[in-house]
Amino acid sequence: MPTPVGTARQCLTEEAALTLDEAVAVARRRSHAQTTSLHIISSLLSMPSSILREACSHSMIISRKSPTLQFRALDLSVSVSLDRLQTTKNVAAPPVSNSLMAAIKRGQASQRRNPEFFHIYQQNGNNNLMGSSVSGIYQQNVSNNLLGSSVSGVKIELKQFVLAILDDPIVSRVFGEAGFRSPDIKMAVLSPGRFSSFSKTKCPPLFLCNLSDVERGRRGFSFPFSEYLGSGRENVDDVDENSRRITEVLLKKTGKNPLLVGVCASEALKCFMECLGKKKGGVLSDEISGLSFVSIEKEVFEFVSKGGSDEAMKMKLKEVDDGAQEGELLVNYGDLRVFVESGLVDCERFLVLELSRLVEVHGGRLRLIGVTSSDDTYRKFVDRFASIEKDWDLQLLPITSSRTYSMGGGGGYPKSSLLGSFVPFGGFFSLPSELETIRSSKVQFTGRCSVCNENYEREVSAALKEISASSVSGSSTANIPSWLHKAECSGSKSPGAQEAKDGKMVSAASFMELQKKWNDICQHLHSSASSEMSGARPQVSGNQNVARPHSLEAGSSDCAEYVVQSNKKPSDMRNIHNPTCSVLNERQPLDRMVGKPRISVTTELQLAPLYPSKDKGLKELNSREFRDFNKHLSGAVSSERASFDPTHLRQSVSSSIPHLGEKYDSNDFKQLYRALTDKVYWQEEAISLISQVISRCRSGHGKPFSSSKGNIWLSFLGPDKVAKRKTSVALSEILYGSIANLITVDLSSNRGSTTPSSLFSANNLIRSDEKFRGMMVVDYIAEELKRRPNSVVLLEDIDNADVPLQNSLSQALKTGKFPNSHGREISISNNIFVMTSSVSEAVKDPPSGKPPSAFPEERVLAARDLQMRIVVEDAHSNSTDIHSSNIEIMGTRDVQTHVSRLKRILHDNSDFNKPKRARNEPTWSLDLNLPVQEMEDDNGDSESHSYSNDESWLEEILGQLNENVVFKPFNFDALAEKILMDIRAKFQEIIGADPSLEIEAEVIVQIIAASWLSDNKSSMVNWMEQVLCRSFLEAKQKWNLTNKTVMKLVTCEGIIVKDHAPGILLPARINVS
Amino acid sequence: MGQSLLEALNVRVVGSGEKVLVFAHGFGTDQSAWQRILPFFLRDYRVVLYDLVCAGSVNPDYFDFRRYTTLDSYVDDLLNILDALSVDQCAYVGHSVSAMIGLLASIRRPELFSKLILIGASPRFLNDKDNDYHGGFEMEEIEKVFSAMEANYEAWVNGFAPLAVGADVPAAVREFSRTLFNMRPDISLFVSRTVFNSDFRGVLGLVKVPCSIIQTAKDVSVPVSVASYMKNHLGGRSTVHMLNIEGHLPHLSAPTLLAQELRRALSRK
Repeated sequence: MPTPVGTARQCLTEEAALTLDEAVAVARRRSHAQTTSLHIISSLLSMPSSILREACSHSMIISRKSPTLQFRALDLSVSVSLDRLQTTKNVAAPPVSNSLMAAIKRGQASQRRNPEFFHIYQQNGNNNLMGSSVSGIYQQNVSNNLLGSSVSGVKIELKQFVLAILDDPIVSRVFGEAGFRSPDIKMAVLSPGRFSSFSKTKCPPLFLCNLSDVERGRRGFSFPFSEYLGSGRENVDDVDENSRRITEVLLKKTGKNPLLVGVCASEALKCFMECLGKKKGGVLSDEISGLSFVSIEKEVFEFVSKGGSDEAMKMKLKEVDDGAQEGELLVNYGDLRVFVESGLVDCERFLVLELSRLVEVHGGRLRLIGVTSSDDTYRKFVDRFASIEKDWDLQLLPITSSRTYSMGGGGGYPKSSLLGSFVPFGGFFSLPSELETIRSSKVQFTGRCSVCNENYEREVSAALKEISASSVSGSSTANIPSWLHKAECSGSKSPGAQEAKDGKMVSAASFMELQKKWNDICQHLHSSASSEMSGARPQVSGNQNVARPHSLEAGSSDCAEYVVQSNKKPSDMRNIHNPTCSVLNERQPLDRMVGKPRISVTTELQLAPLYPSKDKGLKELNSREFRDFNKHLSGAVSSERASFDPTHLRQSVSSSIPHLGEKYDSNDFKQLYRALTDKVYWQEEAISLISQVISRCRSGHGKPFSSSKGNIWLSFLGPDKVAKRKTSVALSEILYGSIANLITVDLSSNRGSTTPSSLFSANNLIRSDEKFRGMMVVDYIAEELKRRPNSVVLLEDIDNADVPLQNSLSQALKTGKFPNSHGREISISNNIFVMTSSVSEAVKDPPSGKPPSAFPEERVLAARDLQMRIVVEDAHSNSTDIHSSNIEIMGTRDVQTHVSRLKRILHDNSDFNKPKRARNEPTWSLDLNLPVQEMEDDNGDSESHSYSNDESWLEEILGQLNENVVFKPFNFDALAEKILMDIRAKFQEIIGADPSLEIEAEVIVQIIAASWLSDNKSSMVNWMEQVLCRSFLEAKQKWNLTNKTVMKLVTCEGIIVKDHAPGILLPARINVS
Repeated sequence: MGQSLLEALNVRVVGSGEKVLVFAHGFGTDQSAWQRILPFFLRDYRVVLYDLVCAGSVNPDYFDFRRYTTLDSYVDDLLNILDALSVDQCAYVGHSVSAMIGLLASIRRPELFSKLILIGASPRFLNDKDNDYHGGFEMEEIEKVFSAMEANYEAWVNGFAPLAVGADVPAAVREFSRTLFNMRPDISLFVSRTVFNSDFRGVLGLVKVPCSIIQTAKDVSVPVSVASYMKNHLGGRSTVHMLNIEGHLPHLSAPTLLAQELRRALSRK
């Protein structure tokens, strides 16, 4: 039955009521029998600046549709639907239809739940709140409103009203016909700002029930607490919890004499006694309320503390004795402290024994009660009177809160203004996580480069538009003005759109198609792009460059043309919709075409013995053969390389056969090898192994991991952190186009932080992603994998992986899907996982007889990025110089001895690390409870405990990888020697042999570290020439240097380098002071 | 009764291990706070999760304002849950107010707990000048906070959440705001009063179960001195572990770090 307009109006705020009035007017004008949600929509749309209109246009901006056209379509579709409604005569105010009334009630319900409106509700509801019982109010109110008989409670705000109406199926159909999605609009109404990111994806319909947890759990089930309510406590609100607990103890059969422990205990006891005095019912159940009580506290206190009179005490005890004869008696002996801390041991003993006797004599009829503010006292008490617990039948009752506090502080019970006014807004904020899935499903397939991706998205939105437009034209053709109709048709002439016209059902399928298409296109583009990338590298030889144009030409001219077009005029996607479709259809043959000419081209170019390209034997080109090359290569001279070309070609040809679709020029072992050696020239063995493995895996000849798809799993073991990182960086650049496709997670970084002045934190290469702070590592990796599906994942110090990461990695290795902490899986198909660990079998037993390096890797890694300066001093005047012990003298003597002396100095010097660390340790794991020794044991212990499982995991996972690559230690000694020699040469050249030069050890370490980090050998040479020599010159001009002067190259403590020299992390200038 | 309690407090038991591990959340959160810690323990433990009755995820009708005036009632709930699940012995990880609940529970039933791990625990939040105790809060400050909560709960939540989380981890702030906001304001206020009125100083010595106290370097609610106070006064063998991070909610702001610390603490006997 329709509801009169007046009743409905009561549920609305003024603004919303105006809208309703407007709607009623519309209904009347059209002589409709009832006012429906459609009328509301119509009235909302007719207002120039309504909330709905804004939301609509907002949702359109997002989906890149034309507003005017869409609004026209919406207006039309609304008016058409209105036309269809039943008409009657003589209705002054068409009553509100049931569906609209239902919407209003939904709005009310949701508004009550929505804290934004909670004060409004409160104002309205407050009147009936007063006076009822606490939880009752809440219940009553909710039920009132839910049943809907009374509508007094909530007035809906316009926003909620609109939201509720958008849920109406008729309304959402009308919007759908006009090409809007009502969930989008709802989202826009709710939060215009947050809208943008998920507009095009399909989010779950945002009905009001999703917004908040609906009136769940109102089914009554017996809750354990109700037993307390049942015991006649309704009218004893002012009896506190502590008293209740005391009563419970008193009622017990054994352990019935409570001893209240806690700072608030005496207050609790006072409270309880008051209750008892007033003979309140309720908490103090009938049994207890019949209990008489006597306090001997005062007497005991006086007796013990003042050495007191025996008489008074004995009198009192007599009284107790008599009282207990007559009936049940509770004796309060007060604070336990008097029994242990008075100093009068005899008195105490006497009292305790007396009380014990009384308890024994009177059995159940006499109870004792006492307090102690601290368990300390109790412990002393028990120590003194061993069997006291049994004798007194004690029950300890911890008291942790006091009633007087809670009453004092503005009332223990909440003020009524807050009561029942609020239903938790549960579930709303968890929405983003759901949306995330959607976004992720959208992002997951982006195996495309950014240009293709952009084009793809543009095309999708174009298709969306077509679909919606065509559905409009389909459902309400008759009513759309002819011009509009025409425009839509002209837009959908292409075959793709024809398909789309078949209905919305097609949309999903067509999106898939578009995706696939663009992925394909990108594959071609990408392979060319990646070769372009590598083409830009100076070290790439000619034949790779040739491959690029051919892979393009090899495609049909259509394709090439298309590619050009799409790059040039991305805005005009719809016009070239047609050709793309044809490309899509011809994908298979096209691939073949791409494949074939390439093989021939390369083979031609390489002239070498032409192997039949389909010879399967070739595929068996095994790694042994490669190892042989590597032996040659380890001596690698570039001129030698030419001789390997034919063989490598054979490999690349054979490898390209099985994977026609996947053209990576980087498949090519040699290119990879060269690119890597350029960056990490000192790790040739490791690099050639890596290059081999990668090219082998790319060609499908990796270890038989059928399930790990296109992923390559490597471990880099051993020392040389920098080489590992550089290799990973180079891999990401060569194979995936950019360093942006490197996901770095330093698992050890959880354990400590680097100092800002560290040379390595100044280097981008070495900085690991800090972004996962606060996230779980698995989640971070999963998210990055979603974002960058083609990437190198570098996991440093894998031995520190936590359990979830271990599980995820194991699973990813097995299934090709990387689960995050919620179990959501990200499928990975084109990634290289690199796990590093400084542990390796080879390094565990270093070759004997070799002296330890002067520069352990840790020391170089700890190098700081400090400004350098040159100072000049008199040779013998200043022997107490603080730096003197750190400085290596370089003059006329042999370099070799310098280095050996340097070693000694560094070793002495490195001792300073040890005490420092010991000092630092307590701040990391402050174990206050343990003596130092125990603490150390503990640390060692726990370390082995927590990771004991992990070692087995590490072994297991390393066994499953494609390859374990062992890096050898970087020879810092040789580098140091060379650098010292070079500097000395420069020094002698510029300054002469007379003055001596001293270099601070710190400076040497810094130079070594920088050289280790730099990509290019020449930048070190450049730095020496341009910075160091210039400073020497400057110094020469400034000072009169004789053979008695000593020039020192030292660091400026605490001054971090501002400008670095190009290509190397060393200061661009050295201060000469 | 057991069943309905398990249902009402959203008790969940997950994980494939043998040993039982209870995670109890603190004020302003619910069991979802442990979400990122959980994966570290599923393999080796049977993990029990539940919501305190005051949590936003529990039907507010269950919150009896007369009953939950002291933490003892929360202890009843915890023990009832463990009994209903027939747990003989468990390790217990409690955050903030739940840490205190765990302490009380272990006093009542020492045999039930093999180990307590207390995160951000404080025996008393208010300062006590007479006894030279520094809890970090003055009564007047607290009253101001309470009136702020009463005046505008949402605004208070938005102000308090970043403060409590401490570290600059927006996700954690968001998460904490969400759960804090889920609590009905009157319940939230009531529970805070209960918490601030609690004073455990006298009873710490009654705890005989070994405890690990996990304390962050900077915690708005718990000064570092409190951790050593606890350590000195707890009756059992106890250890303090400092985390070199900020904030009262390490399980939200630095889950990985905390999980490692928890594992270490649990493995220690």
